[in-house]
Amino acid sequence: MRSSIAFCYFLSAIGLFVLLPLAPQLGQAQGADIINHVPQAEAYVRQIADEVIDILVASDDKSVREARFRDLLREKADLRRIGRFTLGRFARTISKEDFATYQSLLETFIIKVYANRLGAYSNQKITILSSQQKNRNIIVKSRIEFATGRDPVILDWWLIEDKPATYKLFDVSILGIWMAQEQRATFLSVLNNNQGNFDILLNHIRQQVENHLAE
Amino acid sequence: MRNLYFIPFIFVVTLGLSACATSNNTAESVNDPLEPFNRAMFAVNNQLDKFILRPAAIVYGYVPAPARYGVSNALNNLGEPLTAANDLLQGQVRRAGTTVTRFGINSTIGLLGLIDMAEYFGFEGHSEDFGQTLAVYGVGEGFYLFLPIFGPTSPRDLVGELSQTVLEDNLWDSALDNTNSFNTITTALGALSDRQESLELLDEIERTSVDYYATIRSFYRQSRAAEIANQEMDIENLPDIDGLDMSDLDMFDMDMADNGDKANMYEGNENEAYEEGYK
Repeated sequence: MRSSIAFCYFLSAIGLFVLLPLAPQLGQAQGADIINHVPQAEAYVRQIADEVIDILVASDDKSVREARFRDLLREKADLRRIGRFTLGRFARTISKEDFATYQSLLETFIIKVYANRLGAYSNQKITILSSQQKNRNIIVKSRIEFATGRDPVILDWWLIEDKPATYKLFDVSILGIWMAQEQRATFLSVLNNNQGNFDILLNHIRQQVENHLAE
Repeated sequence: MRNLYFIPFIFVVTLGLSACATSNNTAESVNDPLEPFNRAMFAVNNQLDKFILRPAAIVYGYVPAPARYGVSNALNNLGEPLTAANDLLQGQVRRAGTTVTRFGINSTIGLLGLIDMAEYFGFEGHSEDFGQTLAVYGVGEGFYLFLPIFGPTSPRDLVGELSQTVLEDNLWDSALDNTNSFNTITTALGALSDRQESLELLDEIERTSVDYYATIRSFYRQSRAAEIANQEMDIENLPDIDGLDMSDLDMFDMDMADNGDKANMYEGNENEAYEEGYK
């Protein structure tokens, strides 16, 4: 054990005296246009979180749960922006009709996929930790604590300020993974690997939705 | 202390690979120039997982939860010395202090790490590895790579992981006899424990993904970026999405002119991933 301790000292010495002066400045000074506490946005997230937990806990019936989840999504999320974001550059090339079809499918897809994924987070305690705003973007940081004793999970909410103190949810990050970003990467992969054929993407999404309907 | 001469070599190789990798970024919008190879390896890995690791993880799930948590805690504890070293190399002296304190508490009153007593005393754990340290020093992620057993990685993270393995071998070789068996057992247990913990999540992701390979690629890159940032979201690095709410679809565009730095956060790829959809 003595030599292992010596080894740790060896690495520590490298860190402190050789490489530390070269380390980039972590935690740089923030820009002046960042607001560090946005109570209204935190309240908005609190409201969404409470409603999601209520849906997951109160509704055993899958169709009721999905209907309530759809209402919540339409009311609180910026679905149009999410739709455009997840299509990347292809949003500029498709027709309005195709976009409308995609938007409708995406909504159903989100409800079916995330209602399932969120099931793992039902009946847990969500604590709002902090919030930051830059221009129209607000990040609200929260923590989910599990009754089972499992390690807490950090959940970030990305809101867009539509009008002063009026918000819409754009994306959610669990442990650093943004969900809209994940969908965007996946959808663009399908489009890029199929010469941008939009029908193929729509069929893939339809297939996923039908798989869920069949369950 | 064998093989430590390997470390300078690793630095040189990593920097070389990352330089090559970075030069390829502009050519590939998703920075995955080896996608056909990676998809083939992904399929191989899925078969290995389907017939070996996943069934083993399901069986391991029958071990009582407290015992599994104990194994997981002990394995995490074995990684603390190198986490502390990487904390220091990244200039995170306070986090290094927390890690050293955790190692001290858990190795003693935590019964060789089986019980995470340090967390009970308010010292929350975290993980740092050599790949993250290289990232903090500005070494680019490079292209995406998927290897059987290793899983998703990049040149930087692969070299980081290999060097970490060499260091761990040396560390525990100096502390224990019969190290080869010890390292084999801990590596196998680590893989089993990680797979067991991710059983439900991976099943769900596979079932709900339009393209499972692309989803795992996105998950890997985003989670690595989050680990490198110590799970701290930087609002300064959010991409500009204001252009997305224009009512006329034909007018839709994103302001990419000043978004070079903002690409860093998105897709978790420090180089150019944000242009994935906007090239």
